Amino acid sequence: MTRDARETDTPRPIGPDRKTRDAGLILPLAGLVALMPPAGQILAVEGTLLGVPVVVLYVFLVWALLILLAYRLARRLNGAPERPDGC
Amino acid sequence: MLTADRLWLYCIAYVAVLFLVAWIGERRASRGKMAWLRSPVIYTLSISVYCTSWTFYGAVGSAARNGLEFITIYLGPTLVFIGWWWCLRKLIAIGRRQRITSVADLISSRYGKSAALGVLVTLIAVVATTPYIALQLQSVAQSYAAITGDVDQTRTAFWVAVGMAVFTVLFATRSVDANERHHGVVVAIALEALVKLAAMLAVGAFVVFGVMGGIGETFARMPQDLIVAEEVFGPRWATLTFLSATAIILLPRQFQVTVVENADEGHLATASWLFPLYLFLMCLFVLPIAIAGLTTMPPGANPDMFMLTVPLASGQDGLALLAFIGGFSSATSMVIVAAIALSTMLSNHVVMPLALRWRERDGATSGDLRDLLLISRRVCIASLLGLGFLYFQLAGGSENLAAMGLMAFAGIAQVLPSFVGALYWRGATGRGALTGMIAGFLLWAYTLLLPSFGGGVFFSEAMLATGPFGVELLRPQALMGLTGFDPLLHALIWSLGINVLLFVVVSQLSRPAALELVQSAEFVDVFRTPGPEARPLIRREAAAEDLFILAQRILGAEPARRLFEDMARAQGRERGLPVPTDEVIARLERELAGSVGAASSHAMVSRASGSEVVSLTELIDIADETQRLISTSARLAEKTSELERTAAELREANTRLRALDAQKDDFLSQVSHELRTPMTSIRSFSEILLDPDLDATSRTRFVGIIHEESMRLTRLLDEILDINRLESGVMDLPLAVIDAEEAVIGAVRTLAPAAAEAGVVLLPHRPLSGQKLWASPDRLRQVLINLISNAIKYNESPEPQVEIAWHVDGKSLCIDVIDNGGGVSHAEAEEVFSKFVRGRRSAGNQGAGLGLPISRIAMRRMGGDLTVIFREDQTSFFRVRVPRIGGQGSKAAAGAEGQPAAE
Repeated sequence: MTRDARETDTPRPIGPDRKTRDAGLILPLAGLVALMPPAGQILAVEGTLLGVPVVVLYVFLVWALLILLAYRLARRLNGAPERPDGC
Repeated sequence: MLTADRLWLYCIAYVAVLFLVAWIGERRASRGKMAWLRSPVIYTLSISVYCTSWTFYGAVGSAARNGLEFITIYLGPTLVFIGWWWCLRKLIAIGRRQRITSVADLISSRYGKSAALGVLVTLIAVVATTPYIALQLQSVAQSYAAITGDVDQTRTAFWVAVGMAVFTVLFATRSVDANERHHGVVVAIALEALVKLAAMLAVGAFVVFGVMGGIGETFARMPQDLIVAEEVFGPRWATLTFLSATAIILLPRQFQVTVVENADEGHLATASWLFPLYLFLMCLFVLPIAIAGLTTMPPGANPDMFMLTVPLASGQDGLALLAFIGGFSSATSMVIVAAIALSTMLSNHVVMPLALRWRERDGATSGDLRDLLLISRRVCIASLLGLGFLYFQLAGGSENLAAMGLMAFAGIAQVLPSFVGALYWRGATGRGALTGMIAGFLLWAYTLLLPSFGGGVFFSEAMLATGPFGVELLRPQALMGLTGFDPLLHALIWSLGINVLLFVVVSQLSRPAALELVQSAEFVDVFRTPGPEARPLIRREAAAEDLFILAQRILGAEPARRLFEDMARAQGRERGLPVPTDEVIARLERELAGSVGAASSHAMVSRASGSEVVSLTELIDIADETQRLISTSARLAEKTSELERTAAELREANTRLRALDAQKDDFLSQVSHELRTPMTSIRSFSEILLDPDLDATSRTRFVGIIHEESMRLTRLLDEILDINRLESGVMDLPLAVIDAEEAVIGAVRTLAPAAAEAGVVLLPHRPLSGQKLWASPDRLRQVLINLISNAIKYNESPEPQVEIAWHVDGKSLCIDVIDNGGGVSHAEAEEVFSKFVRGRRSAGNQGAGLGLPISRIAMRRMGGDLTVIFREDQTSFFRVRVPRIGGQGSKAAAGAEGQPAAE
């Protein structure tokens, strides 16, 4: 009796903890800050590194880092780690 | 050398492969083999329909013109996807619950299933997508021209448009799916995504390492003014990122693949990083290819075609072909999905409402609407490609690809304020959304779309330069004298600015309609609402037959029958139509919404079910956030009280267990005590016997005592075993039909000698005439003997006598054993049935005190009982109750039976 009530009354399964959920919001905001005018302007300087303009390197590196963090975050937000087949 | 015929052949072969893949996908889906179709990778790849030929050719062109700026088009979507938890997840949850079929459906559904909003968003989407489709036609035509040298791009564009229309019609409109999913198309799109990526990476790798000789070398030859670090992160950079972030959610084709075709909310988690990774890889070689084009191609070469011309110039025909197929792939996937999405919108929000209105006027209510739906979708697809071709004819050629794409982005961005309001702002109203969007859309058309045709089509050169009627303030590209911005930013500031302003202000000033309140709660609080099934809010009445006919017209005979059977079964009805309750009507409306959109479905169901009434209290209940919180805490409180009840029950059970445990301890100590007494005497007499000097007489006497004690010990152990087996139910009591008189008289006869010895007179009442009992003969006899012998033993009366009386009481026979010693007291009455307790009168007597408990248990096992009955003078006697055969015997017979004299 009590068990039934518990199963039907729960509005949704309890998701990831607050820290993880907050990380889900912080990550895109951090990406926004890093890639938008004021912050980007400071870090993107004239000149080259390994033959590639620093600004190009900067944008691509931030981008790659965001993808990596999103990958790790997605596994935590989605609960059980998910293995995409063959990619 | 690639010839024109060859190229056509390759294209047709490629399309045939796509067709095959889509067909296999569709077949597997229809057979229920969905496992690989539903994989998150397929889902992610289908989202990459975002990368159109604008990405494939245009990104390089844009990089060659504006340096790093092209990347913003991919940064916006990246940010949206890595922030999926806060926006896309909610959007998909809403989409699935409300059975949203398109972005127009979403907006219309949220703002009270408004038909007007559906039409407006559809219009915006069509107008914004037309340049986009034109862009695809143009890029295919241009690339074809770049390879073959064919100058007649119009002809190519025309045939490409026709081919795409045929493919889309064949694949997307074979049936009206209940939830508008196109599994086959999604698989084909996923394959195209792989082809695009492979072509891009192949060309990029060849250019960097084959033509330029390495990454460092490539950038070393980069024109100095291509990337100026200080100018990269400017206002245009931010604007484009914002626009692309908007587009990834709101472009009709993106909404289609991300929300409508989503099969599992969990797939979004994979897409959140895999899709940005896909974009990252697509962009990796864009800048090097642009640099290679700029440095190796003759000046004046079209930068949009560097993807083709650079390999061609190096004599790499195979690579050029791969690049051509990649571009073709990008174009076809975009056109197919966009055409599907837009045709769904058009048929659901424009054609269907009109058809309903016409039919109503004609008085026709029957007829299959599915044919109409399918035909309208096919016509819409053909018209959309026709429109795209027309735009290409009017405005194409002169424009660069990126500018055309951005214009589309800015157009669809007009939906953004209403969209954000739909998901996050409960106060947003349909009137606000309508006003904001109309104003924004008109401003967009005036400042961006119409000028894009150039002077002479819609606006004359003079008007563009000096404003209509010479009013400078109204110049399309410098409205109100706002200059100094590039045209895109200028258009965006005006259109989106006014849009947001009107949306917010009008929303605040207007009052939402009832249905709007309901929907706003369902949308904004999607994760806190128990789901639309939980409680229908709208009271409606309809005839089940009307609803069934309606469902048949939209869904088709078979699916409608299945749906209604399901609903009837849910109500517990085996056959026939379900009772048209509010739940049934609400569910039907949702099911139909999956096919024709929320507004049309709502209109149709409302027509069948008559006027609707939303009860005020319910409305307040769901619409008010406080109420929602209260109901949540009420649920919690309910749960808490339930927990408390359970805890109390547990406490009670625990107390009972403790009592039982104490009883068990008591019992054990009693048993030990009872065993100890005979054991002690046996031991002490044995010790005396060990003395060799003992005379024979004493020896015999002591051996006699030992024998007696061991007999008592054996009896006690037997009794304990007996009671244990009786209580646990291990022992079977063989029940039989026995004669009542025989049982009673038998017991009396057995005890007659003992009674005579004790000087007790036994007084059995007059005989029972043929009463039959259902009992265990031995046990009943044992019980009676026990009772009578107790009555003999413990009788302290000077003239002891024991009466044995009986009478019939309904289904049982009562046998009373009454001694004139007074019986037990009230306090003793229950105690005597506890183990090892003897009545006060038994003080000097021997016995374990197990007789009465055993007797009571035995009687109860037989379906009878053993109780103490008190008379008015506080004397008591024992009553045995035994089940009787023919218990329903007449009262007359019962009256003739012997009655106890004691009454």
